[in-house]
Amino acid sequence: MLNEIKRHPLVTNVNVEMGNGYQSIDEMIQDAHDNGCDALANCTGLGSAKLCKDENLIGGRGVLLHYERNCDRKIDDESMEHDAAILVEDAPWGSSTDPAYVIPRGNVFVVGGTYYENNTETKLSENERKRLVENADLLGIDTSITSPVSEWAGFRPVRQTVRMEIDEKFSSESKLRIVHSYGHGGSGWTTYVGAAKEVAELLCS
Amino acid sequence: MPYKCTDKRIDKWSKDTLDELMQISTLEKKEKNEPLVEIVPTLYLTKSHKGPTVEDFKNFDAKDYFQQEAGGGGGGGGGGKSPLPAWTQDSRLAFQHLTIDMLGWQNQVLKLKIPSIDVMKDAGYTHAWLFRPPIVDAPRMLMVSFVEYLFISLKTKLMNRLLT
Repeated sequence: MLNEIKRHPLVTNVNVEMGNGYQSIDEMIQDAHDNGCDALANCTGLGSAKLCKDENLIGGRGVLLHYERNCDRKIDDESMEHDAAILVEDAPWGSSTDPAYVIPRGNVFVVGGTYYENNTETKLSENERKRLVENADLLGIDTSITSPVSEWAGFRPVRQTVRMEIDEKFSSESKLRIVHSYGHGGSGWTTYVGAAKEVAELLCS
Repeated sequence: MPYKCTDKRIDKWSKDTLDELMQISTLEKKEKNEPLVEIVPTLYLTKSHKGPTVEDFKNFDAKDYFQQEAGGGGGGGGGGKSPLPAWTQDSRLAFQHLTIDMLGWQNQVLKLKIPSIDVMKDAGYTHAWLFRPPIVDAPRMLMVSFVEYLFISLKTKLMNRLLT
């Protein structure tokens, strides 16, 4: 997602490399101490697999192509004027592991996708790229004259249940109030405000 | 629409998020800038019914049928007897369960750029969910949050320095 910020046409002057990286939860706690914090919210997504040594947290790999929002379309009826998102998880266009979808988002159409658990490949394969172009074509983008402007592979933080709790062990050792909020799968943007409020409630309880 | 997350607490978090996104969307309508949140008509195509039937209508009381268990849902059944997930009952999403033919009729009015009804039928799709969720321009929203974080972080550091 941070790479998407860099490439976004409306985003300028943001250095996504700045800020601290952590190798362990102890480093995070130390940094919080050094900055005079009395609480720490760990919302590092899949990074928590390493930071918290959480073996229940796995990556659910997803791949995308981006097309310009004003790209050429395959719409027979010229009177159709509004963009729509389309999601298909039933064959022949999609499946639960290879869903076909198009989502209008800002200045682009996002075309997906995959859901592969424990697949750690960071680049798109030629076959994946080909299938995504087929999805774009099926869902209304005229791929005979329009090419994608970028592509993306990322990893949903998948866990049987979201880890949303106060970390009693580290909280008592560090005298910081530490709360974890990770493992929201593919529902990060669907839940982010509610999850943040839950974190705040836990910290204030 | 929760995706690939089955935690039962997700319905509450989704509702809180929907509250905020709808508010952002309403506020943004007054501005001329590119929106961070856009309400997008959304289609979910299926090859089976996956919704309430006429038999359900005959056999059940609506209140029992759509009753939600506390925290029930998580993208699955919404509690009660409805096969639809709990989020479909939020009126702000204007959820409809349609046959593909009904979708074709509606689209004469809605004018959505979607594949033709014949193409969807030929592929075997018989039904569709149609709803209107807010879609976040995620990279830009992250940037806005990031800038907000930097501002608060600098302000906090400055305050700490002044106090010591």
